[in-house]
Amino acid sequence: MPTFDHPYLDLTRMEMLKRVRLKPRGVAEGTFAGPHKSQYRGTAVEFADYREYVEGDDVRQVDWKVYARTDRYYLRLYEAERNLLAYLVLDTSGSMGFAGAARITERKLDYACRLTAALAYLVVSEGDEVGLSLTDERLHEHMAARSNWSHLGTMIATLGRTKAKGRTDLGRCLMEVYRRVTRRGVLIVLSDFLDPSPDVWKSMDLFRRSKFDVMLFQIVHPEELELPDVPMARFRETEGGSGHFNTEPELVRELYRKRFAAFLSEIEAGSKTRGCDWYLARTDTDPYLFLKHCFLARESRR
Amino acid sequence: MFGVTNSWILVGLAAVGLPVLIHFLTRARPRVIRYPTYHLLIEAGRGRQAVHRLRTWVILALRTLAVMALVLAFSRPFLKTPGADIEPGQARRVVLVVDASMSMRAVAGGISLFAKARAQAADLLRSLEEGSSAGVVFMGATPRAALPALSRNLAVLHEELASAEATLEKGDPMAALALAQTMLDGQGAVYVFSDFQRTNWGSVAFDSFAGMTFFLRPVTPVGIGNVGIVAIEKSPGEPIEGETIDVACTVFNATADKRLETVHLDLEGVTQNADIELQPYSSGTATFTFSLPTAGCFPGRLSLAPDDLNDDNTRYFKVPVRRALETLLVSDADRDDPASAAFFVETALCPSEYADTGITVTRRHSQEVDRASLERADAFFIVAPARLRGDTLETISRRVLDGAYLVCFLDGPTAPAVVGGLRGASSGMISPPFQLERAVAAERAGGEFFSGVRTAGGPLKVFDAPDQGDLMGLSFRRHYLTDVVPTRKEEVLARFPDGSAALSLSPAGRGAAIFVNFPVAPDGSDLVGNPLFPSLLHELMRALRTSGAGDADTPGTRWHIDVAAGQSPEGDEDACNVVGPDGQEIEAVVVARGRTVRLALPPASVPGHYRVSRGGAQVNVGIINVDAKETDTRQLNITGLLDAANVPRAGMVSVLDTEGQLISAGRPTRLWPHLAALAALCLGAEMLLLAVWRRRRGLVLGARLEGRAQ
Repeated sequence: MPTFDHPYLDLTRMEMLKRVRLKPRGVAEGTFAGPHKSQYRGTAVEFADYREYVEGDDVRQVDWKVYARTDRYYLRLYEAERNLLAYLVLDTSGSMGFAGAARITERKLDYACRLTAALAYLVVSEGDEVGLSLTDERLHEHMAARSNWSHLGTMIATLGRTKAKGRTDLGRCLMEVYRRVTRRGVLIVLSDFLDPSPDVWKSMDLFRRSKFDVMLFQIVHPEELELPDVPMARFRETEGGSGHFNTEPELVRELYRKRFAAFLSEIEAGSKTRGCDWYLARTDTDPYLFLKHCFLARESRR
Repeated sequence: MFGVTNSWILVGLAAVGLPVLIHFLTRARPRVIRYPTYHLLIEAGRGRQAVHRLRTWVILALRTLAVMALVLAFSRPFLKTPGADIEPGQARRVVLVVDASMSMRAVAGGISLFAKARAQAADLLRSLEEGSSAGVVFMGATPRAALPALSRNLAVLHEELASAEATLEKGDPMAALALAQTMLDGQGAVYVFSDFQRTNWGSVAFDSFAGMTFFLRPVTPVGIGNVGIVAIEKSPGEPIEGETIDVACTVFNATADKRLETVHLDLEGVTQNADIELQPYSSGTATFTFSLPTAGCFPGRLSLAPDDLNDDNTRYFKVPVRRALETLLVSDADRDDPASAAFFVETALCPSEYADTGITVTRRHSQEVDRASLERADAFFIVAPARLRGDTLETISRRVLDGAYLVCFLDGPTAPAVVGGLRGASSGMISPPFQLERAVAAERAGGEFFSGVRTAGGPLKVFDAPDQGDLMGLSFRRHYLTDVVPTRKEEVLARFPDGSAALSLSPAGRGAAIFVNFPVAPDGSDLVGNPLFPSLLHELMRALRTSGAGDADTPGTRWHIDVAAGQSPEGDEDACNVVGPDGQEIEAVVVARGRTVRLALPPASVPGHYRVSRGGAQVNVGIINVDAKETDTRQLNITGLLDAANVPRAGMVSVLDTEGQLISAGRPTRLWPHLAALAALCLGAEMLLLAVWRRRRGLVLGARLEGRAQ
């Protein structure tokens, strides 16, 4: 197993995820024989079921032990095991560059990159394929799914060069991703989901109708949950715009908190309605621990 | 008009900008934050921001207002008002008019109204600015100033106030205000402390006091309820020994309740009681009937039960009883003619020397009237025909004007001359209320009748009930057509069907005159054969002597007593002693001599009987009673005094309902306490609002901290 010396991937911390496997809900449609279930049944190493022999079946699949017991002819059926396809879509718009005002943490983008790297590592280490798409107002980077370590290294390097800039048009970018992918798999979106466009949900619906397993990681900074603790602030948009809003955060804190909570509820509700998994990631938490909790929770829901 | 005492402090108004400056200097600099959820913040915070901005402006406004109010307060502003055209602390010139009339002796809540007025006046004196000069005028029948002019020696005025008492006099507000005006040289403020009785104040006109300002302080919010005796009428006013006397007592109820009062008569052994029911704010009459067997002057009094104002519950009177009424009958008819009118009149007055009618009759021919008879007579009868001499007419006129009585029969051709002569001799004061036009005679068959008896509530008893004194059945064959003087038609007691006056009763100086315009001779009427005739004559005599006069003198005014001229044992005919009700001898000055001697007396201070004696014998009694107007204690509607028609200048007259208003009236209104209060209010409001708003923030902050800890 190669080593990666990059801030976005701490292999030591990845140890806590060694027992974690990204298992898709439903079945995989990979190219190679992998550990994930495939909806296709055929020559495979794992017994699936019995079927009564009919004229024309391959006699080599007859289970003679069963014949000896029952005096009837049955075929053994096996499940074809195929590998996972994971598509990582990372939002690199300007809003992801927020690192806090009074309480400084790493940028949301950095945090998301670490999650992305960890997820990619998990997939590749299972022998599965992982692809990466970087989005802001357009899809400005798309790496097709591969399963080798050099591909992972390239991905991590690409992540390292990423800058948070531009506006958000996540819906349009996801549509673009959908057009580019050829096989179904697991779609993992890492974003702050501040794009108010309904296209985001339309694209989710597309993926879900195509039987993709969708995982949404919403990245938030603690100061997005609660307003920065400063006496007086002039708030400006992060993605352009000339407007500003002068206020004492204390005055509007409660109202904002409720509004943001409502916003999160909308995202969560939209996700649940579409059968997507939604996870709220705070930048002040350990990403590896976070992922561990996410997968455990996902496993408990299977 | 607005003014300030310390105008230099107004420079401090520049400090009004301080709160604004501090606000902007201490405002926290905003930290620029590029915020991902900007649009969510906008949605949540816009409305709140507007509220916050409003709160900020409110706080700023309160602070600015507080600074402005403080600065202005230190400049000690004031408002000049009409009657207060001076600066605060400036010396003033004021006169205090304190009502000292009888009604102010009424007691309310254990203290007299005058005591209240006195106390309030003293409070006002104490509150005057240093250097102020003041005067005090006590209002009575004649105003009395404590000091002749304004004085800065307020201690003396205090002493005068403290020692003053309400009088038993009536009040004369116009005189008191005029005195105040004189003391102030026509410019200044007058404070009036009174009960503002409507009977005294109803006629006050402030347009006579153009340059003055008046502050009226009622010492009682409403008039004190009172019942008192307001009038006495005797009939006859000068009775004869044994003659029936009626004393009618009028009582006034100045309360809002029905009252049942008992009037008590006390007169030389005669005591009677009479109950009288009185409606609210109305008067009623109680009548006492008695006779006095002997001649003399008998003092008497009528009284009620005590109430809050006792001084009008007793009223004094006298009954001068004559031994006999001396009458002089002047007629040119033959003394022995039994068909003459004079004969019948003389016979009716004094039927015989044995009949004790109390009337003595002296008869004279008009050309033979002697001076002694003229001077001795109490009553004169002129019965036509009579051609009186000029000196006789003059003497009769003088005597009647001096109090004697006249009955003049206008039958025959001499009547016009008699009427004209009397009118001329008395300068028109003795004349009938009609003009004689011409004599008319009736047909024997038809006759002339009295068209209807009209008494007008008058004194002729015979006319009280038609069945007793009905003269309609009598016939008169001649009379004079008369033209009644419209303004004197009330003096006509009876008329003929053609409207001519048949009988009249007119006042004539201190006496009275009756003019009879119908014949009493048998050839002219059937009156003399009627038993009505004597009673008619006697009732006429009684009517002439009915009077309430002589009891009209009141405390506080100069008055006189007339006594019959006589000789004292020492030979000094004018040596009379006058003793008041309290036993004090009163100095009397002779101001006129004649058949009567007139004694001038100083103003009386107490009501009652003032006995005049000469040589140890009582010769007359003077009567002083409180003025009946003081009994009606109802308060004037003071706002009516502020009527524009009565007050020529706006703000000239103010009514002060409270003690506070009394002290502040006439002074410029000091604004600094109000401004200081405003500043305190603004600062208090600012602190309260900040505390409330910050508390809310603290709750939210505390909740956040708790959330983080968890």
